[in-house]
Amino acid sequence: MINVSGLSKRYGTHLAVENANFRISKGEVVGFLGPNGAGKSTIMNILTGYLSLTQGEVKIDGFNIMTDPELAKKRIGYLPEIPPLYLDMTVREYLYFIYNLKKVKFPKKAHIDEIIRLVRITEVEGRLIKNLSKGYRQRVGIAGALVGNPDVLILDEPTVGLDPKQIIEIRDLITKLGKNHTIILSSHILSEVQAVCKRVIIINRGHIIADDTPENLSKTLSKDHSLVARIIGKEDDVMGVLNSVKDVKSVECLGELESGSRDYHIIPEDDADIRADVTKRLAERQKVLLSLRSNELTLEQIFLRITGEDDMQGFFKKEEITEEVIEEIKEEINEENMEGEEE
Amino acid sequence: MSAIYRREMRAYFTSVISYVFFAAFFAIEGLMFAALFQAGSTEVYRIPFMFPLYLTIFLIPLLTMRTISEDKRQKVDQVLLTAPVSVTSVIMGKFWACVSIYAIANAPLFIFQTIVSYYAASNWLQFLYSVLGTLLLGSTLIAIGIFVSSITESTALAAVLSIVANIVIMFISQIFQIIGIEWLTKITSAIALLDRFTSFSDSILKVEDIVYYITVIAVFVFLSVRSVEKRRWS
Repeated sequence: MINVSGLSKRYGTHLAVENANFRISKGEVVGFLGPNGAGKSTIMNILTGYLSLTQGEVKIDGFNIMTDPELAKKRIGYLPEIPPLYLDMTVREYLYFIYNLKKVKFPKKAHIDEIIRLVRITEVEGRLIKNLSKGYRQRVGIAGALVGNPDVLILDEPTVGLDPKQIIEIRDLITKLGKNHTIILSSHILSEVQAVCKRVIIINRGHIIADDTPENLSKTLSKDHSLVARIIGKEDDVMGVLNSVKDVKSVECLGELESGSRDYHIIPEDDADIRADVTKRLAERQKVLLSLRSNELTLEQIFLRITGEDDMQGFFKKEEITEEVIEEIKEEINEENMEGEEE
Repeated sequence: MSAIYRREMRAYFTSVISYVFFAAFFAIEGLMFAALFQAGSTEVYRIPFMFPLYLTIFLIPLLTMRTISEDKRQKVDQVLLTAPVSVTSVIMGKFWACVSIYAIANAPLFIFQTIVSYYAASNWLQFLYSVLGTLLLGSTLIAIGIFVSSITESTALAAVLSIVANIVIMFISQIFQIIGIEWLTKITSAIALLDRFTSFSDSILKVEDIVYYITVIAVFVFLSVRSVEKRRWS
């Protein structure tokens, strides 16, 4: 449906996007993820024909956005970051204007009525847009993008500036629309992309640095699949129980972090998922499991690791079980023991 | 183009600008007609060449100042430029809307001519030539104003620049005449809008004047399209 090859965009001397390549198939819901200024909006503006490209090719349903702009644009509904609304028009007048502008062939009133119902703006359809709240304006923007029932919807930060209730409503709407449309959604809210999109394209400093499902990105980037468990019981007994679990390669006691319990670093064979077996075996042997942390990365961690935001990454690393974390935990235990001895 | 034309017309009639525009034109044209009528003159065709001409220079920028600059400032140009229409259609939609408002402002001339014709013999052909000249001059200033609006995001700056551009392009030959540069006066009198306009007060239609105005309009529409396109490429 969308084919982007060798796309570059230069603003004067600044290269905003460099050699971007990706394909999006019909029916996919894809998230563009990246920090502010990464190039997400620039790529979206090029896909919609608002900006030209410096190099490369963009095809929408086989039509080149530069050489066949009108045919390509017919297939796209676009919601920019700030909805482009005429504030002096009522909602219905605005949607009729978009209908005429796009030269839509569907029955006018029935088509607009259907969109108004779908995005739930029936109660404000007669009101001037300038008197609407930000949430409703966003919905009117989405309604405008839906006029003509285009195959592709491009939504640039659709929930920015909305309150939590409005965010949930817009996300639900996008999920609903995803059943019948190809959607590209940009956001810097990671949970949003994770909640709505099946595929994530991570962009940083004008480059596409990752393109996969959130699950695959997590698998690829996680260094190991080890666990840290906090268990009540004698160290030897617990070590024996953990070592008896199938696919456990090795177990190391990290010491006593919480009174009456110890932390254990459990390393599995290869990529084996041992969480279920560990909890089951501990329950069988009547050992109390207080916590179990896995090394699987969240989308936040993936994003920060890939984009190399080191200052933030430090924060998230504490959630990962790397050698450094293990050393940190050991040091904490030693310090606590020494303080105890001094007392 | 028709969607943009209708949208622009609607915007004019829901804002105060068009009403100020109409009020100014109706009042001045009415006063001119009253003066002519009382003097027993039937030369309604002279009205556009009198005070309304100067009104046009200052009031047309009121119509054109927001055509593109306002869209850019409010980011609504995104909806126009991502729709399956060409930039030329967008510009032409806005151009025809401005021309329509200007034509409505000059509509009372027909009422005056009809009144005069009722009481005395009058030259309708000469009147129609003067209306044609008026519309061509106004359309040219509108095309210039839209171009100026396309190069800035400030509506106030667009208005000021348009007025300056109108004065220069209207009176360029007179300016050089005052300065006393004869050869430049001769050259610029061929391109000055005012010199071309006064020829419409004759009862002979000069095709070259019509072609001249249409050419200038086409050039500024083209420049406006390029100016909007340039933003996409910069």
